Amino acid sequence: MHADDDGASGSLVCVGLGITLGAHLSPRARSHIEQADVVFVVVSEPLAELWLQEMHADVRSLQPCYAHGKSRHETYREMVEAMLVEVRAGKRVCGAFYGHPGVFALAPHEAIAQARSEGFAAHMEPGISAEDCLYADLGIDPGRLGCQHFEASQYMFYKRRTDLSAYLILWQIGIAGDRSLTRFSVGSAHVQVLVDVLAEDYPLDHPVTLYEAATLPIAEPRMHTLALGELPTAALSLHSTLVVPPLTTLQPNHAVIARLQALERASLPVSITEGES
Amino acid sequence: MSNVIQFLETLGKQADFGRGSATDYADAVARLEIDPALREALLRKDATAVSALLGGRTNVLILLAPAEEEQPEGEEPAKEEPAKEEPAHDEPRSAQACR
Repeated sequence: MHADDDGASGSLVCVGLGITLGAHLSPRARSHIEQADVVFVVVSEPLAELWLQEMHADVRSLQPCYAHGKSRHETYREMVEAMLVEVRAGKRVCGAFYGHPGVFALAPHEAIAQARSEGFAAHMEPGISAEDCLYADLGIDPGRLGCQHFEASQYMFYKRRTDLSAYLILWQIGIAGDRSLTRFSVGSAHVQVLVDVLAEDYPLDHPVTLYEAATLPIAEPRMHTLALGELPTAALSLHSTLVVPPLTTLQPNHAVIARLQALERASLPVSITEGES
Repeated sequence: MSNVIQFLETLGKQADFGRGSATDYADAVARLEIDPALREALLRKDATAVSALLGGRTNVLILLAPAEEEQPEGEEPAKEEPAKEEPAHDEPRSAQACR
């Protein structure tokens, strides 16, 4: 079924709740939640689910879509379909996701694309992500030295060019190397493979930080710095992110700098160039 | 709204959340009209206990991003070209175009 032309069609908005309960929800995201006919929710904190239930009478958790041993591709398909069923039924649907709904999140993007392909209005409202919290808590400005973000397993599966003069941030490190997409944790052997990959570029004593944003105002962010070689014995969770600081200084590109200097000299007014000698 | 959820939401909105003194926090918890067990859990900042006492989920799974795109049904994974003068070996499937 596709959208009707009489204006009675359903709609979908995927909003971000931010990371810390109560602290990050935008007024517009809250308005979307309150005005929706039905709200679907995926959050990292059980209390946040209860918080959502206080905002709307019909909050449906997508947690039952997850299961140990079940492919997460199937989980994401079910999440998309659960939202789309209600959109097709003509309802205003809000998908509320922790953090930013479009960052390291497949289902919101897929649901919006699917809804639009069927002719329904659909859009995304951003939220404060774990990445945003990381910059604030660890005092990192991604514009200063540059910042590379990868999903940890993807970083392992494929050959990437790592810029050692920039930060390297690996997400979902708690399942690093899981090719099955059915696990919610991996053992130290998997993490050791990641360390071996990183050790091609970084020394084992290179300091790295395990980061977990605070999901509640009564909690503190986790910021644990250790040597890269110690990572396989560190406690990891689904919330853990690995921050690898730069190993080298920025390397000047002399050829490009020389070209730019030549351009600047050529564009100077004649009166100034004459006076240079 | 539940007193505890409202308390957490208010705490989250406050400029000094997480930076107030332990005494201020204990005083704020003491003013809540809630079950003693909940009060104790809040004082310990034990989110798991607070959630359990309020009927929250005991197990939350949260991963939202796959490392690899899903293979279309019936389609063989693309093989990476073996490098010249290197023996062919099993490689992870190559990256699919982003959807």
